[in-house]
Amino acid sequence: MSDLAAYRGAHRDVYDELREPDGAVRPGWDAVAGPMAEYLGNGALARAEAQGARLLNDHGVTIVEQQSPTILDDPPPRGDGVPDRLAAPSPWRLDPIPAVFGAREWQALADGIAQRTRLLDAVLADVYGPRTLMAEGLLPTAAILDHAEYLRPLVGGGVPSQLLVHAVDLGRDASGAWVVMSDRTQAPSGAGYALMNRRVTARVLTDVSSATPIARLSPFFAALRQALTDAAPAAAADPRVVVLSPGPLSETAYDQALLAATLGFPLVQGSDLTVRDGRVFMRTIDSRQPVDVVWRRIDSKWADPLELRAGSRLGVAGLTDCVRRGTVSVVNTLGSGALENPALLPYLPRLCVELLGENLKLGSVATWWCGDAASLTHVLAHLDSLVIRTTSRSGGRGILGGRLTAAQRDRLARSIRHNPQRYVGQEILPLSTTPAADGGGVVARTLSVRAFCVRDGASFQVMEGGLARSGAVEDDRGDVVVTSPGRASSKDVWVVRDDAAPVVARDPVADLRLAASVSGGESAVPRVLSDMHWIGRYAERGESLARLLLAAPVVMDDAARAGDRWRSEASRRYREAITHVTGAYPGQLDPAAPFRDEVLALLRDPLRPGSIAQSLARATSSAQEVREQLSEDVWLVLSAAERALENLPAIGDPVTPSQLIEANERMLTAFLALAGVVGDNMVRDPAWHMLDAGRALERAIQAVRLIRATLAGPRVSPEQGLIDAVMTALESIVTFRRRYPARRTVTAVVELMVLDERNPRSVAFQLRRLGGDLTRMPGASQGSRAVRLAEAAQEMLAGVDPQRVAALGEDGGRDALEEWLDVLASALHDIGGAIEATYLKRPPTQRVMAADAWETDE
Amino acid sequence: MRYRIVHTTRYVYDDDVTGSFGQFHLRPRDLPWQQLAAHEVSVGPSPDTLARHTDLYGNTKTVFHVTTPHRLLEITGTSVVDVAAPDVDPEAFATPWERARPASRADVEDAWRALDFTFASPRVAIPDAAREYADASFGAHRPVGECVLDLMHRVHADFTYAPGVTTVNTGVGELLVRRKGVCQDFSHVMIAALRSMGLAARYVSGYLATTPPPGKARLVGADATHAWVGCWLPGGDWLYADPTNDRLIDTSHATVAWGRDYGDVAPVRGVIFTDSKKSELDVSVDMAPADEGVPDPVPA
Repeated sequence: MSDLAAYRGAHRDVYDELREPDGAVRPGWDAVAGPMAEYLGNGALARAEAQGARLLNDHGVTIVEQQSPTILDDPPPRGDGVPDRLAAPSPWRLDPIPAVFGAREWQALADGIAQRTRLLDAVLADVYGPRTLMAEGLLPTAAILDHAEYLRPLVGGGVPSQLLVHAVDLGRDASGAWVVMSDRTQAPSGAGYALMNRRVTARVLTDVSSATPIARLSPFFAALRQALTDAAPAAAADPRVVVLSPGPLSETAYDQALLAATLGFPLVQGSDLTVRDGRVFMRTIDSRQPVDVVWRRIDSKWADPLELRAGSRLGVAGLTDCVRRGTVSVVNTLGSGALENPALLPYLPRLCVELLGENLKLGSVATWWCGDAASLTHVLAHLDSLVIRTTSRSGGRGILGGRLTAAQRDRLARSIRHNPQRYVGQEILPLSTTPAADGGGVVARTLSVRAFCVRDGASFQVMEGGLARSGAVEDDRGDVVVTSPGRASSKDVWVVRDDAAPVVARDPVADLRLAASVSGGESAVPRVLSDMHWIGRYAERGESLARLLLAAPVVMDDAARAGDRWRSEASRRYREAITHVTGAYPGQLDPAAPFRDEVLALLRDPLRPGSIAQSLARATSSAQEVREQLSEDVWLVLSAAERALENLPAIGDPVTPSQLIEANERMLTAFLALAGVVGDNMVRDPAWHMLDAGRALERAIQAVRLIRATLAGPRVSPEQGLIDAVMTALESIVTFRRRYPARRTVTAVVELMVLDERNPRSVAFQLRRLGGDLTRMPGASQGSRAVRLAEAAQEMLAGVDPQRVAALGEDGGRDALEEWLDVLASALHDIGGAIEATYLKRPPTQRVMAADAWETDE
Repeated sequence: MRYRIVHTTRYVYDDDVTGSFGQFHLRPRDLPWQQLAAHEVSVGPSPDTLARHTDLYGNTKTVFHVTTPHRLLEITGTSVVDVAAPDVDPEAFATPWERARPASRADVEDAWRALDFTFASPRVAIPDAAREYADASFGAHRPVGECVLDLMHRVHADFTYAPGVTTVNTGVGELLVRRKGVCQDFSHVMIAALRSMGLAARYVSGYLATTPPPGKARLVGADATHAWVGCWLPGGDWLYADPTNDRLIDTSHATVAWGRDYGDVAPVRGVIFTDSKKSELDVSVDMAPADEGVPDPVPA
């Protein structure tokens, strides 16, 4: 362990980012190393690491790590593209020490990247257009034709193929020169993570970052927004751009959502789009809005179940036809993944001369394509010292020949001989070392960088920054090139200007928070509305249960003080009510079940129906689906709530009442904060109204259930403690005591909690609120069924005599109340169903037309 | 021979289909040995959009979209074609098969295009078993035409024609074990065998005359869409073999489209949006000799 001042690279013979071999600090770092070493001394680095991790956690920055098979494994069958296993998102890891480069070095690198993008753009246009490069033998023809992403329905379609966004993964060779390890031309991810890394790093290292002239990221995002808008077909006057995501289970869902929100484009999934009359539209509940540009984050193959991969549920049926008609632009154009092909690398220098008349500025890692006889011989003879990859990424992760057993090596060699055009051997890059934070100390780690390039009018612009990745030196010597970026730590990339340009006080996109409200008028997509509605319902359900559990002592203490069986009957009823309300049977219906364990389970067991943990998990998962709709503060609240639950003892372990109370209080605070964030920060658009309707409906349902489970039916006597507990749980005890000082009866409960339209906790109030939300939904003027049902339920409450419904029957119970509440509960249920059917309905199921006469069982 | 071909595909559903996106390859190709005299396709209910284009392989592909709710979708292609037997260049036919592999013929101008048909494709894997099966037909330096004919004879002899045993998704590996199937399966097996030797083999979708010419036996695979195999010969010709009927194609075969395998040229395929749980498919094909004097029903 050492600090930054004492840092030296790992090996004398390996290029170090911070220091020259003689120990001098390199350009770029020279402006930063001193202040940073000072700033991070005395344990500050450990604090910076912790603060960074907390900020990332608070903002819900995650990556879903998929275990992808290697090229020796059988590829997993993937029918419709939807992951069948729910991989939980992992926290995004960020090293607070950035990767730092001098502007001069970066500019040369950027020139090389931009040239490379221009070159690949020309290659792409050719392989999907005139195909002269293959005819002339300038490309590894077999590797192009036999590539999983060379999509024949797109060849010669008349619409030129284009590369708008390109990313390169870079590392240094032994001489310290940058080389490209791979090109990302399909749908490059990571620009959003780079943005978040900048925000967090700038915050954690405020004193250093604000005193350093770091190049800004905002010009790149401005260029990206412009490029996407400019990509629209000529006929589009005011182009609408959407970001097509595979959904929140995809590896880089966070990246997609952050970019969509930053650029201000709706984030959609395939089922949100539809094709009509040869055009792509976004489906909303009352209309169809034309879409001009689809920025896809799904692989091309999955983009159209009609002409591309049949059975895909991620795409839009008919999209290819629309592209051919020129009514929509897809970015990058469909089929662009064909250039994510390492077999191209050895051909680039000559292609660059032939196509651009220039020498290739930025080289690639030494690569031998096995489709070439001499290269095949080389690869087979040097299996031990090479990384072996397939030309298509779907072939699996590359592997180090040197780490295989003899049997595996034979198997691999056989596969290569069998289909040589599908394999390449690549040199193992030494990579440079860079200082990295590790538990408060500074250690040497390997460095690789993903850089981003976007079309900018007639030329290309490279982000002055990027997404750096650092890994353990011993592991990474070679392995770095074959693992996904998620396994190591990421770093911000600082390009330090040396032209004495004034330090810009604030990078507009580098603010830690997005604009508080990002929701717009385009959110009436049924899928989005559905998630918003359920966020509202689960948040309210969680809040209700927290209150219910917190109010338990009211009745318990009362019972304990008196100690007679009548009063403990009240406490029994209350405990059973908790089970009835949550539906977590048998729960407290088993008289032997310890109450404390039950409360713990209801707090933190996500598998327990109706538990707080379940409500929180479901609200969170819905929030992840519509991340771009929500204020980022929502994640602060959700992660605080998660932490509160994690701090509780494990289920089955001893727990004290004060731990339970504290956790419940924290949960209550969290749910209240969630309501506050949503209420204060969100535009009143259809998405908000659906969320609010969800809260209102759930609140009414919970109130009806609780009253029915405690005060209706057979009567407990005396029931004062029970009534007070119910009113506490329903958050109306103060009003109740004030308004009915002498007469805290069930009649008064019915009056205040069901009928009183002015009590924001009453059922009547919720019905009015629901009506208000629903009439503000698009298309409500036609009087939707949900609106009519809400009105009917309001009428049902008007004119009810609380005395009569709460009256005791002949057998001494409140059967009338029970019946009446059942009718009310069923009315609420119907409203929920009508909301579902009117606003949240998904399109009909997509199926494959049976293929032909001989097909019998598809 | 002039034929009139009527090919009808009907889908019947038990509930409303609110959207049908389809694509079809129903238009016979114009070829040196085949001329399309007339062609018409009708789709019912009437589609909102219908657009045809020429695909990478020169086939005519049509994409359509029906949004009228329907429980019956019917697509009928009617074509009038004049078919002769294709000529085969004896010199190309006699090329040693090793010299008919596109990868080894950088000297032949269009060999790179044929390369596209030498690899495994989505529906034609090339398992070791395919090469083992092929091997017996490929003696050293044997003329490629003889190899193709021999392989065709063997597939015909070794495989039993049995409708209903396989589906469009049955793989080559399984077919080589079961040795039963329909024309599509015969073709896929033969394609895999040819490709395993490095030859370029393509899948041809077409029709077979329903009524045989006078004095000839009725062929297997009539009354349905048919499929056979093309093998590239250096010089640009392809040799077309019908392993289901153990013969090179002749005046009974009308060519519609070709691709790497069935998936590239399925006569009709598509995506529907429905809550329907059940669909029935009915395909009928009639390819009958037509009088040369019959006026064209519609322009081609």
